[in-house]
Amino acid sequence: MFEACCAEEPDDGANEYRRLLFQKRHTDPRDPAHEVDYMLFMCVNFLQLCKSARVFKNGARKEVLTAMKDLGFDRAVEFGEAGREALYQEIRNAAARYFKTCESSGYNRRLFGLMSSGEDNRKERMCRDAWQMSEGLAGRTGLQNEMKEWNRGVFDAFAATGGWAGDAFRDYCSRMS
Amino acid sequence: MENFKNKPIIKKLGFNRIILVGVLILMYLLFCLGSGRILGQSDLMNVLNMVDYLGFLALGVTFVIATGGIDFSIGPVMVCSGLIAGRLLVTFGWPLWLALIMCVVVGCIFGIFNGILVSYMGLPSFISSMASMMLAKGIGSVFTHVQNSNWPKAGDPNSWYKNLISWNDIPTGLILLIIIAIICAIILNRTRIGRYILCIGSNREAVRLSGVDTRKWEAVAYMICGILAGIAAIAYVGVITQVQPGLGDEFNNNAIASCVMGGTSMAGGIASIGGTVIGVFIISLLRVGIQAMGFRPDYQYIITGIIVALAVFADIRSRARRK
Repeated sequence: MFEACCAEEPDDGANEYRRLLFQKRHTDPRDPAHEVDYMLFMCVNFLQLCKSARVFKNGARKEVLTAMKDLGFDRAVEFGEAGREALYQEIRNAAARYFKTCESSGYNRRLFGLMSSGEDNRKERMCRDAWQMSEGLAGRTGLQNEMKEWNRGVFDAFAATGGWAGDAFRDYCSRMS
Repeated sequence: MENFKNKPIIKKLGFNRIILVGVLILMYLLFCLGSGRILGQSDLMNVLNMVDYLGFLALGVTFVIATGGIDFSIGPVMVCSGLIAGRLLVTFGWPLWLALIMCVVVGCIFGIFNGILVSYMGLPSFISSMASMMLAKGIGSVFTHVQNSNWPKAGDPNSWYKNLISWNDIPTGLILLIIIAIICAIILNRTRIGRYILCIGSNREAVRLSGVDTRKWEAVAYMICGILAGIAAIAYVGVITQVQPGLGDEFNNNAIASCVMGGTSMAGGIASIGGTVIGVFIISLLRVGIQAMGFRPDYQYIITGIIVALAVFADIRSRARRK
């Protein structure tokens, strides 16, 4: 499917990079038949890193940089503007997939999984997640520059979840700063 | 207050943990005032005795709560392990070291059983752990023919296991608890297992779609909980010596309350081992302090229940305000 999409559009010079991003995101080096999405896991993992970064700043910083390098973020500059755009689209896709999972019934549970919270609580939690995996983590680890593309992709994916999301995120950011 | 919270040392130690230690000290002073005497070595030894077994239970259930689940069987599993191993030791003449290992093995088996029910068979953890609780009580009673299990008393040549709790007035049980707590903190915060457990509690569906075997890692959390319930059984028999069948329910509540008080989120995804240990101290001091103030045992339950409910409510409110 990936190759078919590449063949449909004229190559802007970044197809090789798109292939690399796709491969790194979806290939398990130990078991190629195993379906994985490392960039989606990066979203959940960054939530945890944001929490631990308050105490273990250097450890979280190192882990963020390693994760981004492992997924080929550092290669974007080799492909210029098209490479940057390809990286942004990949991040946005992964973040959109993350926010889609927030619609699952398991996401909104509380009290040991016994009760489910209301819709407002789900939105509030999604907003917190978006902030923690992007601006929050970048701020706590001092990686604002390195995570610029990531933060843009996460914000745009979150803002696309509903008309309320963009404003809610900005409001959350101002409260947290 | 904000300036104080933002100081690097406060951030490192955790504001909540500092508050909890403050509460602990305040409680101690209140109990001294209320009982009209300084709570001395014997009272503190009672606190430490309770901290030992309750601590292991609370550490174990922290892993389960971190996944967004709950385990109400830990107390009865601890008692069941003590009963089975005690009978194997006394009636069947097993060597003591093997009986102690058996405590952990029984706990581990229950942990795996809970893990299979919740992760692979999709049962709600609340229901499955209730079932395990009944099973643990039943198996313990059947295996011992509803008789107490009497572990060797102090002075018996086979009583060296008591040194694991206290040796020449050195609280070895506390030292052991701290070592295990450090190992748990490393597992939870520094290893792949811990990261998966916390991520599952945070957003299970996203973790599953990213290719992680969520069922396996969730089952591992229950297994760790079971193993720690088995270790708690060793501490329990080291303190109590005579294990009665059918007990264990109240330990669940105390262990879970310690966890939640310590900052572990009831929705999953957030867990604090350090907070859990401090929570265990608070609960244990509460029980011993109320006793020292001269309240009858029935009143102790009422007062403990009210204070635990208030503490957990205060924790939930403070989280809601932070949000």
